[in-house]
Amino acid sequence: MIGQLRAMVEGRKNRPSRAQVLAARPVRHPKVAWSREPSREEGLPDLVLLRVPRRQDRWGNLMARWFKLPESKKIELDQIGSDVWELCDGSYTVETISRRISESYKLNKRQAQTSVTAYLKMLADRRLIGLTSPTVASGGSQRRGKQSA
Amino acid sequence: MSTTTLRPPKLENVPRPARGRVTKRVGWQGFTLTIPEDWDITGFSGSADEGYLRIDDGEEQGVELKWGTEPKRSKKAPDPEVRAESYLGSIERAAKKKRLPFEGAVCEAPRGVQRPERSVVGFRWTGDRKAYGALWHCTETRRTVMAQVLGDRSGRKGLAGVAESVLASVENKDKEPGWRFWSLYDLSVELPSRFLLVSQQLMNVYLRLSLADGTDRLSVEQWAVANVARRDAYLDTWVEANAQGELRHARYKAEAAQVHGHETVVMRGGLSFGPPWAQAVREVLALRWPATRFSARTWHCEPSNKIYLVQGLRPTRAEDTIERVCERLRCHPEVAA
Repeated sequence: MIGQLRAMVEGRKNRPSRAQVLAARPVRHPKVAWSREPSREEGLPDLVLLRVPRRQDRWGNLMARWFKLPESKKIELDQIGSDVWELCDGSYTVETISRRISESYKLNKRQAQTSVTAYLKMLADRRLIGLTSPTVASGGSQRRGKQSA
Repeated sequence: MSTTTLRPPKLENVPRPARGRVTKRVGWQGFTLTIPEDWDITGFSGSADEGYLRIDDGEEQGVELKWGTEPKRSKKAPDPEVRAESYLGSIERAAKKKRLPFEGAVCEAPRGVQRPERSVVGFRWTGDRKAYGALWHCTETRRTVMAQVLGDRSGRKGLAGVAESVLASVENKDKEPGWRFWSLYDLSVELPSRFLLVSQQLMNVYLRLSLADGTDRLSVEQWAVANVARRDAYLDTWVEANAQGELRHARYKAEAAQVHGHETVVMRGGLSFGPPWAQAVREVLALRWPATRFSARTWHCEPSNKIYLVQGLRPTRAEDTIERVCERLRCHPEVAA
């Protein structure tokens, strides 16, 4: 508590520990529609295509009308990214996802953890997923933890 | 230092290492040690003469090695006991600054650490963490080595047993004369010990070790997730586009061969025109034999899903070691160590 207050006063972020990050469960943003679709490149397996809706507030609508923006933005994930995305349903921890990726691509466990956490961070920064922490999930509140999306 | 005593610990109270625990062998700068399988190298610095290595499980347990080499002209060998006491003193001072309780003692080294060529003492301390260690001077290599296994303050997860087995496994000289064992995550290779580490690159799916002996240069590269990265591209084309180091400065002819049962592309040639030749001229002006002969081998190891490239640029007179290095590279577990 005091640590968090001090962090707030000093204006720095209270960074989670490695154990907390590995125990967190990534959850896809409910408004982001997605599906597995054939890739544009030959020889690749079906890849995940995300449809991210544009802002629906007054400013968003104004900009969309002005610049003729589409209703949603399409993002195609790569092969490993697609596998990670499929596992972000809130039932798997970051550690489990890393282990699955490590097993399916025969990647060193530590390298897989680094790659997966970096990728999840990128998705979270773009507000495509949120991370639920076990401390919040196990508490009385049903609120999703730090939902970045 | 009030807390340091010379009383040997009760060795019968030290738990034995957990049986059946999966271990692996790692090597760095002439050191080899056997560690639990989930530990990996997380920090290193320095050279073969003086340096630091840290290997841990990413959570609480790990091993640290620090070493230095006595110059040839020094007549008196260092006293490990004095060094150990000085080390414990420095940790105690740091603990006092942080107002942490501290207990430390120099003691008899575990039997596994003792070797005829070593003068060795053991030590242990408990501060913000708990550590079991040993400090020795090796008369063969003239190295003074401090090794300690760290863990939680409570000593949980069988820290004492893990420490005993890890410390006993530390070797500070090459197992086979002339060949040095190097490992980094899943990359394990034996390289001629005359080569010294010049640079390295650690990325999530790419590892590189570059070594040199004068103008003779050698590098080993590994790409993980090869099935995704390479897809259907020709191996030599893909490697040419992605490799670092000597390959970019060479012109060569490619032919097919086998390494550990894998289809391999063998590349042999010389320097490409332009800047590489300017470098060769600079080497001549510095009165050194210029490295002008290029050779490399690359293969895709499907069992480990990795692409390997071993390449070297050497003076005409120097021996081509690439083929022998490839034989000593353990690309998948079935390849004998």
